Amino acid sequence: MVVLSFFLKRSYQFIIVMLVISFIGFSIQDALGDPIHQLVGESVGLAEREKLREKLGLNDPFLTQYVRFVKNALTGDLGTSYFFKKPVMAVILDRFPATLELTLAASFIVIFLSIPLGIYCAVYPKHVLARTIMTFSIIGISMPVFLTGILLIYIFPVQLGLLYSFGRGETLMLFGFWETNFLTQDGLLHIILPAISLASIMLPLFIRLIRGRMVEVLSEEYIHFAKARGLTKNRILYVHAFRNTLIPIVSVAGVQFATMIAYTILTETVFQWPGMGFMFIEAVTHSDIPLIVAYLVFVGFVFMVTNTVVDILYLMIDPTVQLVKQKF
Amino acid sequence: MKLLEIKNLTLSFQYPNKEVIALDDFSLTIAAGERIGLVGESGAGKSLAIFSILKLLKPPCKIKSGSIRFCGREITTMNETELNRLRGDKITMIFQNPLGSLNPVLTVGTHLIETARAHSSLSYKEAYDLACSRLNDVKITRVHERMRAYPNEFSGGMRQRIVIACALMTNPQLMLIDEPTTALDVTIQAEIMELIYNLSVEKKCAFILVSHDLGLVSQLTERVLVLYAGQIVEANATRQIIRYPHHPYTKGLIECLPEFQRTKKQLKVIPGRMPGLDEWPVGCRFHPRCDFAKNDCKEKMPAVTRLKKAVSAPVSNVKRTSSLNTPVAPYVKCFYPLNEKKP
Repeated sequence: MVVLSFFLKRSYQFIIVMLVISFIGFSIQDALGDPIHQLVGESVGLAEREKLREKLGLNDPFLTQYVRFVKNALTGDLGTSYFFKKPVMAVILDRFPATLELTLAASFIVIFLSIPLGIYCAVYPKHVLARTIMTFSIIGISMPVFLTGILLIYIFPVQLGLLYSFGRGETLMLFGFWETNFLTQDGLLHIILPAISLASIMLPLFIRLIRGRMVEVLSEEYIHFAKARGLTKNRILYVHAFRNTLIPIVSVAGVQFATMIAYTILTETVFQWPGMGFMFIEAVTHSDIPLIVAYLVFVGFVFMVTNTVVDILYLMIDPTVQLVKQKF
Repeated sequence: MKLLEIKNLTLSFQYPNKEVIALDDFSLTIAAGERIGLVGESGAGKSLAIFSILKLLKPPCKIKSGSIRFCGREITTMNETELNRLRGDKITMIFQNPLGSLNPVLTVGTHLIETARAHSSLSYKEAYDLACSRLNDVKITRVHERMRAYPNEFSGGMRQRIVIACALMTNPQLMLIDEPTTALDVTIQAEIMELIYNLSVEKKCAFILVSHDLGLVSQLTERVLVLYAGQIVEANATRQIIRYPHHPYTKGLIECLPEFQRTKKQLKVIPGRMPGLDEWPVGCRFHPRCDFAKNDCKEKMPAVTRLKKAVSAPVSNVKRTSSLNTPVAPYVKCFYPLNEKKP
């Protein structure tokens, strides 16, 4: 019952947010230039252009066009790419695995480094290593992703001859539609540098977040009480303190995961990674309006999905977040 | 047999440019099964004194000198591993604020079971059964359901019962109890205190009860130490101290209690406030607030004066289990003790 009402409420929020995003996406179409100009060559006459305009419904009032766009979107049809001459959803879904895998690899790096480093900095705040980590995290936060990427390319492939500076390398096709990097050695070697560069912006942020929250939790009374009960240091840190630290971090992590998908625009451009971000830059260069709009709608959709997943995770790790519960 | 013996303990806050003494030359002895009270206003150093016993002081507070011996073993020189073996096992604590003492993301069962398992080789099942029986001891019903519940599902009084159950998981010899009912409703106060008292009798467990409420302490303990500005100003058997307070401060504390002042219309108060840690006056630390202060009180610190052990019938409202003789002679730290000639 509780779960059902949660999902009903979520779906209704979902619909509103998607409508707003699609509306914004659709309205900027007009600002991006004349679609007919992109579609046809110089030689086509004015009369023919007008005929095409009428045929595509471009002369209809704005709202009529928007309603038509939403109706088509509901059937999965977000239009046809001018440049690729294919349905935009096909183009996006073709590129999506590359971006998702890059983001997952970067998240993996962020999770497995920020947790131990953040906890370490909170427990030994005065240690030289902790201070060094904190200093580097400021540098990391302030350094733009593309600069980190270029530096990495300069150091590893160019100077040391290690790893790869562009492309996905050898991939493996899964289920006929999902190209994966994770199952071939060459693919894994190719993903390392882009993933590090994408992680570089989130990693310092998370180290600082986890450290700050952990310091706060360690001064709580239940930690003091746990010490008074003679529990071991590891149990206090990982069972008592860490779970409480995690609660606010998870909500930030959800939003940041989606943000990272958006950040791939820079990383993918630097590393020529054939994903959605790279595709978006191409779409902008070619003024491929349907593709640009579809990208916006799709990223909005990803944000909504990750936020829902975060809320479910929240229910799992924080027992105080419960909708109805009897008090003894 | 001495269970705990604290000798000349001095605690200080160590800041980079100065050192502030928080507890000055504190001595205390407690026998097995004895119940003693530590009374004083906020900031007197009561909580610090009991936290120092398990070396749970938060920096910059440190043990500066003195010794703490538990069952003959020196605590001040123990390392963390040895201390952890003692903490929550032979010596347990009950904290002031039950709302903060329990971890919000762990179930009640986890708290109880982990405490037992940290100090014994019990299996999970055995620890679970022990936890259930302890919850019964603290008068919590429907234990299996409650074991699975989270702290936020309980009221403050219930949470304090769980904290008490935690403190009794390991059959401790000494409980350190820091103002256990301050954060609770007055109506719950009596229940919790009675529970603590009865369990301490039943399990033959000694306790040190820290409180600012002399009335409460007088009903549960055999001996009281009165702390003022980091020093013990008077120590005596509870029934003696209530009837014949020797230190003007103790007298002031008793006169503040409504239950001891049935005749007067207006409740007396001790004028002024206790000086902060770095502003202790020269001479007797109580003299600026004392009605009986004379010139030498302002110049010299009074020495400890031994008091005669008075023999009298126990006060009726103190439930006595055995006629424990106070192992330490009663004393007062005052030039002009009151009630000198009386009994």
